[in-house]
Amino acid sequence: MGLRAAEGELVLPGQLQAVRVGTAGAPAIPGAIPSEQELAEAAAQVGIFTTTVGKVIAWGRYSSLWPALFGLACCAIEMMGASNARFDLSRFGAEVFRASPRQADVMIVAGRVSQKMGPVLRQIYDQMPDPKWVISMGACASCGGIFNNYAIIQGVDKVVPVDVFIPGCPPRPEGLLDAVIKLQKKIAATPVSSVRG
Amino acid sequence: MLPTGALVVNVERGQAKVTIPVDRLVESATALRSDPSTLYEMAICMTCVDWPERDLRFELIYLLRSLVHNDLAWICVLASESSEIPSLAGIYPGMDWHERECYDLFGVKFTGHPNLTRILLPDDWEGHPLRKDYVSFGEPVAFTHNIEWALSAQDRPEYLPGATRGAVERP
Amino acid sequence: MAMMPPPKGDGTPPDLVPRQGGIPRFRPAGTGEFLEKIEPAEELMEINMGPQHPSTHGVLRLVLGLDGERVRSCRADIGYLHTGFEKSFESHTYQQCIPLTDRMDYLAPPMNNLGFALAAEELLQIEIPPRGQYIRVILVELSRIASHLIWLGTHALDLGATTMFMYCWRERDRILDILEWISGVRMMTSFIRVGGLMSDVPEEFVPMVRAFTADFQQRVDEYEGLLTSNPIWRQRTIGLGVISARDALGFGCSGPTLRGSGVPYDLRKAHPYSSYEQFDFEVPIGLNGDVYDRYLIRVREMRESCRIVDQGIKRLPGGPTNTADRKVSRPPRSEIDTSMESLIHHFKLTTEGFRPPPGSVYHAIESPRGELGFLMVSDGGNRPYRCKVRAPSFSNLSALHEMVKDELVADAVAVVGSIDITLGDVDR
Repeated sequence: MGLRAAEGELVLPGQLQAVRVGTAGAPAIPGAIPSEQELAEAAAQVGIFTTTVGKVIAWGRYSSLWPALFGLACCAIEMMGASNARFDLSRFGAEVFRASPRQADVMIVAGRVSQKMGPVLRQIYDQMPDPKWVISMGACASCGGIFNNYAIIQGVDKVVPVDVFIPGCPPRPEGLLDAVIKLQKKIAATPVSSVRG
Repeated sequence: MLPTGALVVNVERGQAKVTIPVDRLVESATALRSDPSTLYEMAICMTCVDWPERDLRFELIYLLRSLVHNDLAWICVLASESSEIPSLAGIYPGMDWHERECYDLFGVKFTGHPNLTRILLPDDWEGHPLRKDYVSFGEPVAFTHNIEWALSAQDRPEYLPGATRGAVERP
Repeated sequence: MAMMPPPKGDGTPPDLVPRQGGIPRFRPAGTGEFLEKIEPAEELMEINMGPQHPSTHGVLRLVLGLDGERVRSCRADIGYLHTGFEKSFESHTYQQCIPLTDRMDYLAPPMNNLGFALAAEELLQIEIPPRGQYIRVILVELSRIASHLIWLGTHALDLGATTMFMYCWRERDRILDILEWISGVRMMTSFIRVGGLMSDVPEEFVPMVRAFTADFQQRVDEYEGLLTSNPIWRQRTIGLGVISARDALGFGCSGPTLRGSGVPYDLRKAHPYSSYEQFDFEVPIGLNGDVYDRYLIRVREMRESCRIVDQGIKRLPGGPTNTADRKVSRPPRSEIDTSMESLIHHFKLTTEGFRPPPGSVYHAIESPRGELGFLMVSDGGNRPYRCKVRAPSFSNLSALHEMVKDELVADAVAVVGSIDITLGDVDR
């Protein structure tokens, strides 16, 4: 940091004016370490953006979510619509749909999961590297939807852990965008050091 | 031209329905395909209807279409659970998959089929879902009028309400 | 790995050494003759394509037996989307089945609704008024255009033309806007019901459809300008995936897959339903049975569907959309307040549904994939006793191993795309 020019004043390198550190109106205690917010305010006044490493990493993670292609049925068509020109999922950084799960970090389960597909779903999920998230798109993926019968797994959360559920049959593309935004907020709030199981 | 040995012939809405015995099936299909007056070249589908109260509970229906004469024929064959039906996959290659589906969902066995395995369900599935005695529901949905569904298997009462929720019973 | 032969010493390049049972030997830059032809491999290498794969158009698993780069055998493993529709139909009333049918062939949901409704109406022996029939035709042809647009976008995307994907969805979103305006839902409209329609269309329907068809033909010109005479497209699709007419009929192929092989069969012309006989349109037929022909047929079908929609909108008759038979179609709200009979009909229809007389019927319609048929068996109850869905993609897919035989593995994707399968249709 800069030199102490005078008592109660902190001079930042390259600055043009001294900045008074401390709560408004009260004299700064000599030798006190400024709080993070005070430092951030001081730095912002001279054009320095401060943050924590955790926040930057989380920002990087949620701003470029790469979905794994897991479109199964009708919801896949709306997922394709969400990534197309009108609804434009790439505004949120998620337009790169990777076919290989090894290169993806979010799996959007779009469609009904039949009994034969369940093990495949789990295998694809297991192949994704950490950190990974799952969005369950549509009623069939969330709870079996309108198919309460022998053939459909009643909710993919019986097979993989799910972060965001999207209702709808099929959900509008805006619903998928909303889910991506919610997932981004969730990732922003997740500590970086936690590892998904 | 109708196959000999036909039991019942019925023409309804421009579609001819013929019921024939199992042993006449292959020769009838071959004749229907190649005879110039019928030329049923297109294999539409093959399915099965389950009438559990009858002795011959499975009614197999083969649908064939003749493009030249622009009509549709139903070939019906009655079979029981233990009947062995000759496969028509050699005459109509499309019947291959339809017969596999019939085997998968009803349990009807076909002889001479190139690969009679389950097609729609996992290979280790037990039971044949489209039979009438196969109760199909994924998981019980608990409403106030059938709360016993939400109970575990031990606590559930004996009379399990049927596969549907509160619908009118069949006459 | 065989050893390289020693250098000749006079500066000429060495002969290439053949690998085990593979590439023909040849002398480079010299005689240019092939020394010996390859022998077919004793063992095929099986590779697995799917069920999670960007180009299988759904959850389809193909086990390809390869001899080098050539596909010698192809076994399709389906059932990854089996939903048990036919079992579900048996436990829902006829009107409750309509939203279920939406989800079968999910690329053209109104088509499935229409097929089911027509089969049930044949069981019931009722007629739909002309306005209802015309609106059904318009909706079904719009959904045919939408389905072909998805097919075109995804097929081109598989072969590398990503622009088509964006363009086709631009048009498709306009069609979905129309569907959303009339029914509230973009895709699974359930608008076509047994006895007619969900309700009459709002007054904005006609101008919206007119605005769509006004410039659709120019859009199709754009798509054709990108692909039809494109040498890359032609090189990748002409002569590929050929199936003969007799084979196609034997497998039960229908729709563009059958018409591509030169068989002039379209159910809208052969067995017209829902007033199709009053419309003037052409059915394109292919010559060679390859991928390029099927592409041309579908593009042309989009144009013809646009013509049908135009004619339907111009000649749209007035009147009711639903049948007058109150035992099938609900009475209007105003009648329920005044007539006891209407009240009872409404009550019975809502709680029990209608009961067709016992019998069985098969009714087929021309869906974008081919012949979509419903074999419905009624035992007099309020639910179908058995409703078998004859899915066009199921039969078309069973012919895949014939079409892919001896093609390069890189072309297998193009052939799978050209059949236009929908796994919801295949697996039901």
